[in-house]
Amino acid sequence: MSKDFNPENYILLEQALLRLPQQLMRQNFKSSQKYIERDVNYLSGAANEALNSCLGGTGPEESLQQVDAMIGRLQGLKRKLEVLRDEENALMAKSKARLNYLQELYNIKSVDDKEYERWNRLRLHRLLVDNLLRNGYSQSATALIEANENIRELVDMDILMQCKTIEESLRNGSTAECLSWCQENKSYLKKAKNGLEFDVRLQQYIEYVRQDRSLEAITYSQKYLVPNADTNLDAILRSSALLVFPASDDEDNPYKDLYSQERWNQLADSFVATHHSLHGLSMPSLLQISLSAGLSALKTPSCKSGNHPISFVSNYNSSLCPICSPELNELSKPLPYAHHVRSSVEPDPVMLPNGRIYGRHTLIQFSEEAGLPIGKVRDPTTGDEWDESVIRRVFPS
Amino acid sequence: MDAITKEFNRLEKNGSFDKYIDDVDELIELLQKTRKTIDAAPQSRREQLAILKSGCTSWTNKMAESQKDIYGALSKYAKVLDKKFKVDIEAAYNPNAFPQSGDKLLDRAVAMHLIRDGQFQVADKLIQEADLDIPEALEQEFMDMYRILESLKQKDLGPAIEWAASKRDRLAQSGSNLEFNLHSLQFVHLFTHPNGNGTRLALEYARENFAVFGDRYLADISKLMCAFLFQSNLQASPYASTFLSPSAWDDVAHSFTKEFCSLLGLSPDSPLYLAALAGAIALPTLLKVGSIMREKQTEWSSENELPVEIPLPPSFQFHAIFVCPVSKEQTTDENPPMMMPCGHIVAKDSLARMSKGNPNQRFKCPYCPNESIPNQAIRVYF
Repeated sequence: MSKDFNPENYILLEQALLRLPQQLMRQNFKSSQKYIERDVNYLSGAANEALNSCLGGTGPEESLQQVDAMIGRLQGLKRKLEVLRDEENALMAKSKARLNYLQELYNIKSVDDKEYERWNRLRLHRLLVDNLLRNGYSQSATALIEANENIRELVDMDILMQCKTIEESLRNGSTAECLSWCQENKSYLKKAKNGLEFDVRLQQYIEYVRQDRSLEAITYSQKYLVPNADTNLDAILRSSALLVFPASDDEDNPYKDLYSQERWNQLADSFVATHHSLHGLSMPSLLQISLSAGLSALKTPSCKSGNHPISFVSNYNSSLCPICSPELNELSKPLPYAHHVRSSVEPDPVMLPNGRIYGRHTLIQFSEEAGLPIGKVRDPTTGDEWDESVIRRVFPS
Repeated sequence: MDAITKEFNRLEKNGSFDKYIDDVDELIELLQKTRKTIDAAPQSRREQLAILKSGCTSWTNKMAESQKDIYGALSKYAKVLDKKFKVDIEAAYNPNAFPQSGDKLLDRAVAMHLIRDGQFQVADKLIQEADLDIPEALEQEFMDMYRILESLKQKDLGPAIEWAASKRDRLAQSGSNLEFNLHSLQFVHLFTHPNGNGTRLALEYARENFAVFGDRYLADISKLMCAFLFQSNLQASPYASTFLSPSAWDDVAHSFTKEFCSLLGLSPDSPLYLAALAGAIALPTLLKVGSIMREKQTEWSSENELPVEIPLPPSFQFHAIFVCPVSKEQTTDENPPMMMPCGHIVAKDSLARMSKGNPNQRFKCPYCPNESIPNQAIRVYF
């Protein structure tokens, strides 16, 4: 196969890398639109007013005041736009760094190139940081970035850490953070017909009921739940029954599913899914996706953890097999092994009396290097020794 | 990619918010001028305010223009990204791969990788944050390894030789020549040293250290000793390649790493790295398969074998692969390869099929005219 190296194959995997900053730029732009629209309307109105009131006979101080108000307002707009501009510049710089990083792939000529290895080691670091952040190990992630500064622009620390914070808050029974996130991202959620906000508010209502705060619960429900009656009628009806059935751990409580604390975990999971979907992030991390593919591609039916790790010169060295390694062996168990249509064994295969097959050259060379006299061979796996005469040719294909 | 870079460069030029800031600044200037004028000459205010009003209108239009420009640049960039990235990479993910994340297997693998890679501080943080139990001894071992590698980089063989001597028995058992190779490198290093008495030092060194290797490495020692005959002109001698090889130090560092790791029961290259690399190579194929599966709404089966072949470079093959020529299936523990008396090998199930399930039924080998019975077949191990 491949001395051939096709950069396209790698670039196709890096969708999120470029998409994320682009989406953030779009969000940034939308914010700017909001501010500008507001102030444009205000200013046209104010300019009109100033002229009209002047024509109507008010004095210069009044005009000055009006102009001052307009200046103040504009300066406020300028400040807000400056913040957004800095944000956009940062996102542009990030995108540029990422484009350059992907561009490096085109300088690689083959899979044996040193550059290829370097690019891939960097890629692995990126994937690790992303995975660490998704799992909430922010200190480790930060440490890894600090040890490899050139990945900083290639990872999305802030977004992932913010996601984790909100996720944790939900697991700890707090709805405030998630609700404020829902507010910020109202338009996306509406377009995607996502029910996250309703579910979170429902949970808040349940908490009021659990704490015996019935009046607040009712008001809350009227304000936030009832308006969604067309889409969530069942949930609303069921939840209103909670007012009559107080929370208890009683197995017979027909509403124990609504009172279950497990709902917080489900909400957290649902939030993460929504968050990632909004930002174009895949649900399994890119590391997990790569590994699920790589582990299967490498796995063979002979991969077991019991393989003896002896290093000897051979075409196939099971001691080097990543799947047989203690680090990955357990992890690989649930995965399918690779599909092969052709045998691939060492050339000139011979069999020892114990049934083990090696390439003749490998066997002789190993025995020689192990210091055996000529004419004697040793099994690299078991260590047994025989005369060379006992080996026989076999024909696997 | 070119299309993307081009569009991005355009975005950089046309999409900057600086436009807004400039426009806003202009209007602020106008307002301030207006204010000053009205302040100085209050009677001009009707005129001024009229100018202001039209100024605001044209500002509104300018802002709208800028908005259009920026939005245009942004959406063109978005479109070119959409065009490139049509496939959802999640299609290639096998959902059976990482069942519930309660068991910290992946985190453990990451931590071990970090230790191997020499990133000890990060590894420590991770062990702490994820509450993993990785034996401290392991980390200690790798710290030693990196220490020795560091000194090898400085062309100091001392620590490496010390280590090799301490593990002499285990290295010999695995057939390794590391200790002797280290000594010969030191010998060569002294020998080829630019200062004058290199050869004398080398000789002394040889006298001190080679004795213990006499029985196993006599041939190699003799070869090294003969180098003294060529010491005046190594370049032209048969020793040029071994003594003056630039990669000798890298080779020995590599050897050392390999031996060190194998004594710990680990492979020299990080398995996580290799697996991620194999993944990168395998994903495009799996993406195609995954997309087709999604279209046809089939599930990733819980079958043991992938549905397609994934060609990997030869360096990624670590086991012999045997595919039974009769059934075209790979052999496994449950269906192992069996050798018939004629020397041909087929899978056990194929054997059973050819003999109609009867272990004493004669059948003909698919390759040669020899006949045999299944009971005569021996299980082999590749």
